[in-house]
Amino acid sequence: MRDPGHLEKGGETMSEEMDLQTDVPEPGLPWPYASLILFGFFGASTPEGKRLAWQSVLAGGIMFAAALAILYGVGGVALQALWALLIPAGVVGIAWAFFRYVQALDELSQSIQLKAFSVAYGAAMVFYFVSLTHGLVDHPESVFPSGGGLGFWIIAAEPVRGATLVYLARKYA
Amino acid sequence: MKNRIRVLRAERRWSQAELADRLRVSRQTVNAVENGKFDPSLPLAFRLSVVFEQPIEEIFQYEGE
Repeated sequence: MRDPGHLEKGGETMSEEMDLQTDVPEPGLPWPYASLILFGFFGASTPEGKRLAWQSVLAGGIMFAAALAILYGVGGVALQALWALLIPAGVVGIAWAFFRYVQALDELSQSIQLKAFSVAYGAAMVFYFVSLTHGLVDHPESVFPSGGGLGFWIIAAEPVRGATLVYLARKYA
Repeated sequence: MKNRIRVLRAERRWSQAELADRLRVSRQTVNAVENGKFDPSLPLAFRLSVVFEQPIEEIFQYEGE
């Protein structure tokens, strides 16, 4: 906030009226671009950002541990089934944490996140159908040519989401 | 959409951060609305009306398509 007592010009303290001039915009606050492009959120500097970070790390850790348990055959059939369930449960946990995070954001941040998601989803669909078309060209005898499932392309579209987040954040800066 | 947020804010000697606190939004949002880059939702427009104690039409002017 500008303090009229500290604004001086030519040795004279500027009047309060001059301090009220409104033609000079306050500089914008930079967005956390690195966090947006690398991790897809506005950083852990806010309580909701911190919560998303620790919940995602926890869910990711559980998924990783479950994958290792499956890989090394830890436990019997029942435990193996449990490890197998923990992996999709972790994905659901991350999705739920992100949903709560987006709900806690203000409307501009929500708008940026949702637009970036729609662009990334559109990119995933394009990637998927391009891969499908290539598969059909290469293997016309196959009804469902392998070109990676749509899920694979949704993950592959994550950099598109990061780039869109940065683009939109710069647009509104 | 034109708005008088910068003028109203300056009259009250509030920084963008202070206004953002009062509105419970980020400073980036205040900056984007103030500069006409982002049109606020109706609830946020009403909150601006409450914090500035001004009718909405005194804060925002619709410029048409």
